[in-house]
Formats: sequence, C-alpha cells, structure tokens
Amino acid sequence: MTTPQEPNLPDYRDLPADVAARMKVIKERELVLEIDHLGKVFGGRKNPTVALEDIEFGVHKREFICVVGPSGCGKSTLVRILAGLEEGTSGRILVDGRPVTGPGPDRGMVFQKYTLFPWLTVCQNVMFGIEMSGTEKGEAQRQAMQWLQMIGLEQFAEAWPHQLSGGMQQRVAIARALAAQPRVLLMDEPFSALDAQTRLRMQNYLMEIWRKVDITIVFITHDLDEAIYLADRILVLQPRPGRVEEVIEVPLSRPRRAAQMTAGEFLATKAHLEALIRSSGPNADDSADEDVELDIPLLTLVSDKAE
Amino acid sequence: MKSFTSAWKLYGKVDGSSRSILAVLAIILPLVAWSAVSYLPFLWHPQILITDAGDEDYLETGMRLNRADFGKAVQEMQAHGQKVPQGIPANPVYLPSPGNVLSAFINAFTNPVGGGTEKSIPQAFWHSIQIIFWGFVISSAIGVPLGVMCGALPALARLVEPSVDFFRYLPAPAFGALAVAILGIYDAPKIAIIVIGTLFQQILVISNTTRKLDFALIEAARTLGAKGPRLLFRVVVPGILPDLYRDQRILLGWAWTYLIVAELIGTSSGITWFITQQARYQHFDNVYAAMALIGIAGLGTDMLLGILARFLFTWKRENV
Repeated sequence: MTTPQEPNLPDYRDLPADVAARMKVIKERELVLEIDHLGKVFGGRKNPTVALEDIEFGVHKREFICVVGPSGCGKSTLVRILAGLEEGTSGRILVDGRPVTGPGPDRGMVFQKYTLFPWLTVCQNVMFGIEMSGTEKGEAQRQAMQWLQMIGLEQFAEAWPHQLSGGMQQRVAIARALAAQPRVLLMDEPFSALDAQTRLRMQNYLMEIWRKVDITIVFITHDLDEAIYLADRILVLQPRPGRVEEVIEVPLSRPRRAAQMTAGEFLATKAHLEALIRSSGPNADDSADEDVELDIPLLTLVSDKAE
Repeated sequence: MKSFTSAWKLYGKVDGSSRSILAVLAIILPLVAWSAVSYLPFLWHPQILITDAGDEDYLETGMRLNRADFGKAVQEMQAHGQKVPQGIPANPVYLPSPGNVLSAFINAFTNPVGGGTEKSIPQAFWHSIQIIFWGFVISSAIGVPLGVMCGALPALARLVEPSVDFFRYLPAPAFGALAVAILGIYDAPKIAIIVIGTLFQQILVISNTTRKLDFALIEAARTLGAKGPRLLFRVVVPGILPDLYRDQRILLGWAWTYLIVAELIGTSSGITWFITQQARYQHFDNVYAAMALIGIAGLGTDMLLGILARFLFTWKRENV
C-alpha cells in the first residue's frame, strides 16, 4: 500500500527539492491551530457513535491544509468543532496557543451552503464581520470595497446575493470571512455545489487570494484532485471511528497550475489517496454501492450492440 | 388563448393577460350569479310579494309568502268569487338584490347620521376599526418580541410556551364576563378580547417562524463574531422580517374574527352589532352593505400590505 500502484509513477513521498525546502520553511513557522487529542462521540449512553477519536494535528502559519476521507469519516464534524459550532467530547482546540470556546472571529468559515445574508447587499455582507469587531461603518465600508476589489466583484457591491451566480456568492463568502481578519480560514466543501469549470476557477482564485493574504487555510473536501491541487499537506481521515490515517506532504511546487494535474507526482499522490480511502472502505456501508452486481434484463429495442 | 388553456392545466403557467382576465372574472362572476337570481323572475324566486291583498283577510301589501300558499289563496278567492290577490315573484327577504344593497351602501355614506341611538354604518365601522387597531397593536407589542425571543431562546420557549398553549385553547369569548368585570363596560374589555384572541396564537406562530430561520445563517454570523443582542438584531430579526410580516397579515385577519364577540360584550357597539340589529329589523340590504364594507376594508388592507411588502423586502427573490 505504501508503494505506488504503477511502476512508472514516482513515489509520492519523494518531494522535489523546491517543495522540500518550502515544507521545511513552513514547519519552522509557529503553529496557528493545534488539535489536541480531540474526540467526539455522538448519541447518548445507550448507543454512542464515535465520530472522531484522538485527532492530533498542528497547522502552521500560512499553511494550506486539506482534509479528505471517505464519507462518514467525520471531516465535517472536525471542521465544525474547529469553528466552535460544535464541542468536542474530549481534547481541545488551540488557536495561537489559546483554547477555543465557541465560535469566534479568529476562525472564519466558508460553508458548503450559500450563507450570504440575503437581506444585505454584497458590500454589506462583507462589512458584517468588520463591523462586528467594532469598526465604524465608514471604515468598514472602505475595507469591504477593498476586499470586493480583490475578488473582482466591486461592480456588484450593491447587488443582492440572489442576483449572483453560485461561484460569485462563494467568492463573496470568502471575502466576507477574510474581511473579519481571522487567523484561520475554515472551508467546509465550499466548491462542491459548483460545476466543474467554475470549481477549477474558484480553486485558482482561492490560491491567488491565499498568496496575497496572511491566512492559514483548513479546507475540507471529498474531491481528491481538489485536495492535491490546493494543499501543502493533506490530512487523510479514516472512518468509524474518525482517526488520522496519514498526513501527506503534496509533492507539487507552487504556484500551482492546472497542467500539474497530469504530472507524475500528482497521479502518484492521487493513486495513493485512492488506495487509502478504498482500504478503509470494506467496513463502510457505502462501499456496498460499488460492489452491487447489476442484473438488468435487456430492455432496449435496438438490435445492434454498439454499446 | 393558448396561455389561457395552459392556466387550466395542473401546475400550469398563467401569463399577465389571462391573469387580469381571471382577476376581473373573479369579481364579476359572483355578481353576475347574484344579479341573475335577483333580477330574472324565472330563476328561483320561491316567494310572492303581495302588491294587492284583494279580499283575502290575512294578506297585506308588502307581505311575502310561498308560491304554494299564494296559489291556495288565489284559488280560495276564485272559488268564493271574490277579488283575487295580486303579487309578483320575489326572493326571500334575506336575499336582497345587488341594487338594493348598493343603494343601502351609498345611502350609508351619503346620509351618515343614524337615527337616535342607532349608529350609521360608517360610525359603527369606525368604532370597530379602533377596537381592532388597539387590540392588534397591544397584542403585537407583547406577542412579537416575546415570540421572537421564544424562537431564539430555547429556555424561554420551554418556560412560556406550555402556558401559552394552555390559554390558546380557551376560547376568547370565555373571557367576556371576566373582561367586563375587570375592565368595565366600554371599549377596554372589547380590546382585551381581541388581545386574548390574538396574542397566544401570535406568540406561537412567531416563535415558530423565528425557529425556521436558516440555521446556517446563524452559524455563519457566529463565525463572523456575532453574538447576543447583535446576533438577534443584525441577523435574526432582519432574516425573519418578511415571514414575520406575512404572519402579522394573517394574524390581523384573525383579530377580525374576534370582533363579533368583542362587540357583543359590555355596551354593544360597532359594525357587528350594527349587523345584528339590522338583521333583527330584517333590513338585510343594510346587513349586506355592512358585510361588504368589512370585506372590502379587509381585502383592501391586505392588498395594501402586500404591495408595501414588495417595496420593503426588495431583497426577497419572490415577494409575499
């Protein structure tokens, strides 16, 4: 399992020199977010479900982390606990060394659902977090317009959210989260509702923003391509109970381009991730979907067998 | 025409022109039916209005009796060779013609002074509007904040909602005697009845509306640093406002239904008392005119509020 699937692919653990140097620099930075023996149990005493068990992980400053895992591995639960929207049953979360209690402006979040406030204009949405920190309105508006400029939507400042496309709404949601100046940006499958082309464009936008802004990102996704394309390190979770299976350092240099998706390192990493996720499959319920043998009688009226 | 037929398919589409045609028909069709029954003598008209009693003792001009009875009276008079009573087909007294109701309606506004202690339609109606207005304002002043807080604060909901549920099942009329004993005989107990009838429903309806606010928006606001009163006033209240507004429109209609009870307690007054009185005198044209006034006022208010909502909540994709 630790060897690459195909002989012609390089080992995903061999980091190119520039990537290795970069990883070294990142690892010397201080930890912004620490997950300290985190556990989460759902349900009562009768039939408890262990969603997360003893998660131990540290995120360095300005690092881009992706969390992947098969469905039911608790990756959404993890990010919600990081955001403070749910509480862990054991362990704790530290931001800059201080334990987290409840949601706060130091951890911004972008959700899978569109969560712009529909009664506020685009600009007012971005102003929301700035105003919550006590900044007065005029200054908040000035800052919000800068953010909108950065994401290229300043001409939509006065539009209502429902007048924007899904991709644009998520861009505004990112700007809104960043405008509150969080230490960490948490993203819970933010692009999964978008179509493939928009998603790729959004990924590039996000990396562009990330390069320009002093922000650390924890990005949840079920899309392996997305994870490899975006991340410095990938946290692979294993389901039932959710546990860290492996932490992968992505052997791709930055800045990333779509062309890298066909590079040997990329494919090797993907092959390994797929193997990891499939290996945790057999005890997962949803693996049953894949193994079903379909027994459908021939119902077509076409006599040729072109299919 | 094509669009008109598509409006008759299940979940079909209605375009602008057929929409206005249907709107006009909605008003005209019932009026046409009413007029037909009133003005076409061969439609229904189960009674005879006596125009000349003839020699029959018990008949008088202006009396209404069933066709069969009239026929018997005519036969009887013919048999005795006496003067035959004359009459025209008529509907029962409780169904005045549209013309009569319209003239009663116009008369109510052109001669607004009622005779003696009797009040005219506008006077009675104005009194009713005041009762409704104050009842609804007082109910909303308590019910809206309490409802929103119940929806947003689980502890408060657990504390308040059981007793609200209890009072909700007590019919408002049951409080009539109590309200008079406490608040006197004039307008105060009437307003109290409206408040009792509306408030408890209002708390539950609005707390439910508050609870239905998309929770993801609350979570998003929390991760942006909003909490406490700021979360309430910057997120919860604006988020539920269109639904709250719609609830208030429905509840205002609700308040009207308690009016009849309210106006019968203490010193009877207002439009529903007017209707009761006029029905007793068999002035059914006045009854219908007063009812029409309530209906028009209610529909008018609701349409006005609906148009206002379109301007208030421009951010809503589809307006209520």
